[in-house]
Amino acid sequence: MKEAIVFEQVSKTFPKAPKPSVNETSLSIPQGSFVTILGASGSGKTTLLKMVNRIIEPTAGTISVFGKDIRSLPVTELRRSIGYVIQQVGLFPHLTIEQNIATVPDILGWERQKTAERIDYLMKLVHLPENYKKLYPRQLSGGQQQRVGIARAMAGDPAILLMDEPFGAIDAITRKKLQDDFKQIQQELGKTVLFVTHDVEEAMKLGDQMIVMNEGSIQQYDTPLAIMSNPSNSFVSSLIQADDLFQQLHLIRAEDRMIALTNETVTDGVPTIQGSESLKTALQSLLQHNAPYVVVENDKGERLGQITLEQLNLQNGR
Amino acid sequence: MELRVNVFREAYEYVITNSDRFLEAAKVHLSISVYALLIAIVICVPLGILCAKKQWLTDPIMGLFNSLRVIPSLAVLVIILPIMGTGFAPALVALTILACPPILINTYMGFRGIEPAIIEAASGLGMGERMIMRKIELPLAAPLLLSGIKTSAVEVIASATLAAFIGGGGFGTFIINGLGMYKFSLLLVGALPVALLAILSEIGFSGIERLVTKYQR
Repeated sequence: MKEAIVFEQVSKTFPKAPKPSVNETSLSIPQGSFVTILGASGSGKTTLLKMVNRIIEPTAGTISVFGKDIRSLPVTELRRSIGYVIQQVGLFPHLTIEQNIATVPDILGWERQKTAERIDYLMKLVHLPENYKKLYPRQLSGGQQQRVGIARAMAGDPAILLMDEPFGAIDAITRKKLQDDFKQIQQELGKTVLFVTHDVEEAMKLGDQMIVMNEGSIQQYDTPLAIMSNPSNSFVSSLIQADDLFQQLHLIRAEDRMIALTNETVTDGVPTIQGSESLKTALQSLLQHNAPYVVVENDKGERLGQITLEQLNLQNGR
Repeated sequence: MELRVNVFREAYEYVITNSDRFLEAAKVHLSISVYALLIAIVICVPLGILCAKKQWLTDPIMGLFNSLRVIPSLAVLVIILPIMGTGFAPALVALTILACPPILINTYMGFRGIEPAIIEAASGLGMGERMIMRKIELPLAAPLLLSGIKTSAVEVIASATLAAFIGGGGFGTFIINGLGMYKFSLLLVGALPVALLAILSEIGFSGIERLVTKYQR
């Protein structure tokens, strides 16, 4: 698979800081993957992210995007090709929603018609009603504002999106909806996403791959399931609470643990759950219906597999 | 009552019979105010932006202009007198000094008040520094900047009256003469137009302010 972003021995030490924020880090992000970066504040996760679009310049090492050193082209040009979403959203308060979304197309000098079509497409994509176009940012709720933020970041059709705790300031209910919607958008469009968060659940839920950072170094870089079942050290283990069974069940997706449906599986009157739901939901369903297994479906209602009590026992059968 | 009506009629008659002197005074008053305001804008807007961006400049420059603000208008005019003598030029300098603090301070506040996240988002989207200034920072700082200019304009138009004391001309001449001759009608010929001008500039700038803050409503 093609590599979208590659870090080679990258370090960043801020002036007057006693130790580096990011320390000799190498890693590569495959094209089309959703990679979450998890860490506490001060772990270097945001620094790592912001070096990709040169908001922060590394003190050593090279970063390349699609094989090209990011220093080889003007910084504004680089940034126009990479979407950027931040926690505080940063919408332009004096511009309407459509003007905000049109920022990058306007810089790139797109024709009016093309920009207008792009705005319509993006508003639909992020589930914003069309009549919001002429409103100003302050007339929208926090969640809606971040939807605009995502649409604005995607306006120039960048292959890569950098997101710095984009849902961190949004209430829990709205956040869940935004996570679900954004995950779907990412899968649909195949964008490469680098996503910083300090929320374990969010990192596990959204990421195909997950990076755990501490004190400027990558502690582990693997799938959420692999990190959960096989934490590389005690830091990772305690951060994700790997010894808490309920926490594990809550964080592991049903589709990651399910086994194939067998011929003798009777699927009438058996409880079903969505593949993206957690094993905790599967357990609940098993107990509620007193059933021997639950059927796992995708969002189109197609049967993907099943989960029995055995799959819920995380200590065996890896 | 009789007296007051007479005073207004006398003032009116004075303007009619001395229309060339009145118009000349109006011309001087307006031009000295406009020049002072324009020079202050040209100096203080860039300086205010610079202060907002370079932290180390803030304290010395803001301190200097804040202390200027404390000096009464008449005092500024009188201090200029021994340095530059009398006439239009020293009056212009004095008025420019008066016009500076509100513009400088409001420009600074306008730019400092912009949320850093907005600037980060703008540069993250690939806007260059000049584009951010033109499309984001200036429009967002504009309401405060304009209210600074409005304050200065009103202050300058009022203080331009005092310019007559150092021979700067303008409507103040009528007031000084009126005071000297103990003639209320002549006083009015100077005072009424100044009050009117101050009110008009206040209304004008408020209108522009409303236009640029449309997005806040």
